[in-house]
Amino acid sequence: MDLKTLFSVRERITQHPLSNTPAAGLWRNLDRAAIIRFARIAFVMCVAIGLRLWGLNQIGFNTDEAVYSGQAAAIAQVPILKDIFPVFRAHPLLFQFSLALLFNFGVSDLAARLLAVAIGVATVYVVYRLGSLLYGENTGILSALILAVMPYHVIVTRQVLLDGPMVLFSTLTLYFLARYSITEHPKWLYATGIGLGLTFLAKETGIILIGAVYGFFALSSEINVRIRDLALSFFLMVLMVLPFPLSLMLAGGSRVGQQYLVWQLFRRPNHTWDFYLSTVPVAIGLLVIILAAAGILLLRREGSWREKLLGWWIIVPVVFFQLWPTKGYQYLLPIAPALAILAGRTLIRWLSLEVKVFKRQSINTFWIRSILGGIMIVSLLVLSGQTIQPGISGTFIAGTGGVPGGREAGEWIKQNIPAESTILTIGPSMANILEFYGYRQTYGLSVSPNPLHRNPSYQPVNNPDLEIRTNNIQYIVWDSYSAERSSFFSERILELVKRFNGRVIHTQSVTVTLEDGTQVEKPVIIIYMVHP
Amino acid sequence: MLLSISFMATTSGLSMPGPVPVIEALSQPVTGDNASVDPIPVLAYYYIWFDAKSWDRAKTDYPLLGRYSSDDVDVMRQHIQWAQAAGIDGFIVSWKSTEKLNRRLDQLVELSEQENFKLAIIYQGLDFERDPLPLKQIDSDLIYFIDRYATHPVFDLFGKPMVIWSGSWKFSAQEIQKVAEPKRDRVLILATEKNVEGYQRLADLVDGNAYYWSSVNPATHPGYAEKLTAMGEAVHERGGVWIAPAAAGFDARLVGGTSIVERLDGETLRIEMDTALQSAPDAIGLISWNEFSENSHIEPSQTFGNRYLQVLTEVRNAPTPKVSDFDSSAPAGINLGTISRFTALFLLGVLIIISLLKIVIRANRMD
Repeated sequence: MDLKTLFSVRERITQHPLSNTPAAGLWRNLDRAAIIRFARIAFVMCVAIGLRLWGLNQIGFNTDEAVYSGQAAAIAQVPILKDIFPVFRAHPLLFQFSLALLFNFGVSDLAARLLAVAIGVATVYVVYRLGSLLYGENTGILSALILAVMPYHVIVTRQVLLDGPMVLFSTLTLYFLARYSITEHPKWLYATGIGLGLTFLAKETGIILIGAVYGFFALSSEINVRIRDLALSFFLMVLMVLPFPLSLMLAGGSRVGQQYLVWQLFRRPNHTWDFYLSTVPVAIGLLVIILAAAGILLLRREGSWREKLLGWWIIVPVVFFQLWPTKGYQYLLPIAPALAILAGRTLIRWLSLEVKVFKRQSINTFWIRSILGGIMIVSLLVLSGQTIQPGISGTFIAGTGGVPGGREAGEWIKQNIPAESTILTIGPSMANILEFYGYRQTYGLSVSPNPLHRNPSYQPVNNPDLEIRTNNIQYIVWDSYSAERSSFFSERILELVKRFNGRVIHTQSVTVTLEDGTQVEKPVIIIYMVHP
Repeated sequence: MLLSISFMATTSGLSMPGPVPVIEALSQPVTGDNASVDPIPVLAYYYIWFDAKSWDRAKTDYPLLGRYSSDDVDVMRQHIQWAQAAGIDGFIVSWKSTEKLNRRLDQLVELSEQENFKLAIIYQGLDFERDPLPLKQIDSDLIYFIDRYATHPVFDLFGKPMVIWSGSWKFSAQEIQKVAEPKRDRVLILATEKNVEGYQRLADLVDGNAYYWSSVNPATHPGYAEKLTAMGEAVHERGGVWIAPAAAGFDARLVGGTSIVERLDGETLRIEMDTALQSAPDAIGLISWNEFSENSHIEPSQTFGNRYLQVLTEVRNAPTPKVSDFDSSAPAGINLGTISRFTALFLLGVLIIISLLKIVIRANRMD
């Protein structure tokens, strides 16, 4: 059978029986559209999954990941870890509880990160739905693609952090709010309340978005809100939040909660005022921000409550966290979905450009939009690829999020030093990592004895000399990461090593590549045994 | 920065084979104020036995500083400064008590104190024929050293001065015990055993082990890294000090040796430094600053220039991986924390209240 005959046979089999009736034709068209839609979103999801899984567990946990996973292990009653990590610390426990379910089958840093990735990918899907709801299918797909490749979201959702889940729930809240704005059906307002409650339970800072919700309603006269519905929505939010303070109280942790509150209110700033300006825009993508802002101007004629909604979702976190002196790289993540949708909207809906050279003329922007969109997606993809690059090049550890050598040093401790040993590190960050991987009680020398100057989770070592002399501390760990941040405490810990005849028992090195391409081993963590 | 040109003027009186090439400055000397430089000291074996005539015997390469005498104070100072710039923390000085070596050691101690440089001793327990020195001589030499230097700050590396007993394998345990035991409360005495069994033979009688393994070829010696790791573990099991060896290359054919370890333009040094680090050393014993007869020297020379100080600088200066936000609690900036914190909360509260008011007013109008 030749090619021509083959085609005609297939045509007979597939087309003729269906194309005879209009209904069958419609069904076939719908089917094709559904397949294309499915293929497009499947492609976006595959990109999102691929970027978040690539080299995911090459480097062990950082300090925050170790803490949250340690809490999850404590909730799951994992022996030893449950005695080292307190369940209640600074944040609510929704994510940690989910993680605890996984840890019932065994503690694994990979499993924890896979959960974080799943949450990140789910957020990409919610952005697709939200974008489609607000501006149509194409905008939804493009917005999801932007978020899927955005380094800011990729980096954070590869780590066991609370911000990933918080952004999932905040975006879901945004979706419910958009549904309410379209339908004005109260059930979506109630869902918004529940969404905000879940956002809080993922991370308490998410509660600031209540300002965005109310600000949006206040300035959007086209959306009608009944006070009764709003009150019920607020009540549902409180109902969702309530388990956290209740469980804190019942577990006798209310004093801990108060300590955290005092510490959060009075702790010193940890970054300068320009921290977000210098870190976040590049991670979001400068072109994303420019396109999002440009769309507001270029498409002002078709402006509606939709932009107000997304605008409030951006302005409130930006202003609040800019003023809030304790800053963290991932704190502004809730604005990423809104920016992705606004940028996607510009690229899909900015159809023409009016030029006034000789006479007013309107030109099609298809090629401009295609080129800009292509540059944006490729640049985000490249940046994300670079930041999650396996291996360590030069002085920069890309946004793999982990601490090189920390896991290996902790596992060495677990296998080689006695179970009841106690360790002293320069600071609490390395202590957290070694506790999680090493299953040994570890204290940070730099933890202040003044409760106002320390995280209430950390116990200070008021007299390290005495603790070593009385054999309460048997091992000292120096690490280059803490040493770089505090030469004072690095020198102090090395003084203790010298005073108490510390002997190196393990050196944890990482391979670094020099400028000329040669590779050398760089010691980053050194474990000493002290002999009082 | 190392200013070699000015130094050339001060050494112009030395016997030199020809014009001395100017040594390029090390671009990024390792500095002590870099807190992330690892705290494992690098100590280079240093020889103070050179006279002008020493260079006529069994040498194929010569120092860029010329055929110096170890009496030359300028040479010594330059050595210390170069070493410090390359990330070497101190010298392990080859010594036994003779009038000449004592004089030179005094001079080195004085300079090291001025330059904030550390010293340890490798006591030459064997004579020129590789036979053990009489115990009585060793005993009196060590007493001389202790009386003179036990409390000197330049020897304060591990709490007490460190004396490495070269050729300990040629002595019985009883002999080592007889000499070492009365001195170990003032100094650390380390053996120079070549394997775990050798160290274990003396483990209770010494404070650790420094293995001088200059002739190992890391590319061909089976179990090289495993051997160092095993020795490190054996020493640390007894709470001892472990000095792991690392050399730049080796060729001692002119003094009876047979094996050659090629330098490979620094690759050998890099590998041996890495391998030494993997054995969890308390210090790295760098072989050597100026053992020209065995061609293990890293001192700038006519053949190699300052290549090996450059390699060492690169290794020591290798960038520490950076982790962003490693310690998110670390404070920074001006302490306006509480004010701006309350401002943020206040503004959020105002936004919520005003918004709610507006919503209520609008809802009432609708009703």
